[in-house]
Amino acid sequence: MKVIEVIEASETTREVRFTQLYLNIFPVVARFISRNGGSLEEAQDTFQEALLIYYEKVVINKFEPTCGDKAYILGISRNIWLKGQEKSVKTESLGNTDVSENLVDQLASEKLWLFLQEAGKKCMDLLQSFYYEQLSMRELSSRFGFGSERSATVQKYKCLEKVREQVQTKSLTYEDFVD
Amino acid sequence: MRTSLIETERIEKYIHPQGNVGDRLLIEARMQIDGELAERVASQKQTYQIIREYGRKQFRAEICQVQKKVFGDSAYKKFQTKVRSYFKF
Repeated sequence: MKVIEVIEASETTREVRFTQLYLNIFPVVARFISRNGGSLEEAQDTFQEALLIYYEKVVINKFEPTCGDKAYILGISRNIWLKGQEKSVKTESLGNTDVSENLVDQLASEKLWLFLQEAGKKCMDLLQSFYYEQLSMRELSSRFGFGSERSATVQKYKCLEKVREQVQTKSLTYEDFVD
Repeated sequence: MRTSLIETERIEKYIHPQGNVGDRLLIEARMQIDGELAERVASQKQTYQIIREYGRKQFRAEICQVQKKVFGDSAYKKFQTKVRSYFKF
């Protein structure tokens, strides 16, 4: 089943489909990474990233892989792993890079968490459903229980305005949120 | 919709070009004389990026939950044994 169907389905069904993707495809990725000297943790990180890219390409950018979903996810995983290897060879001489990168990640997550508490999780969930998942107004109304598409549209702009004001007041930038 | 929301909608159409070209030109012209509007446009651009990053984080968290389940739940013992066997050296 294509991820596009996975995403459109309810959260429970989506979880079932992601579980299937793990059970069917992850072992192949794990074997590839193991044969290339990687660890289980590295295989897990690689697969997570591959699923994220797959989702964005197929659902958001409406890309249809000609080779089929399984081969496509395997290809993405392989590329992520190989690119990661090249990067680690290049940065090996830089010493304690991981520690400082982790600190930056932690700070970014804390900022995001504080921001969301103030902006409101409900608003962020609504906005991400429209702008990231690209749900239609009809789907948005159904997910968040709005009586009409018009009400959903008004609420979407109210939330957008609210978050924008937070961004403006705090002079937040996209970089504050990127891990 | 209240006036400020109509403006937010117009800014959105300006940032993600759609609809009337005249409306977009009007926003552009107004930004030249209204610094606060220009700031709102800039902040709205940042907001879209932040929302997308938030979406990615949510999606990543969902994947992590599934991963935790298939590697922790005894119902997936066969899968766990198979995968772990690849990493025994």
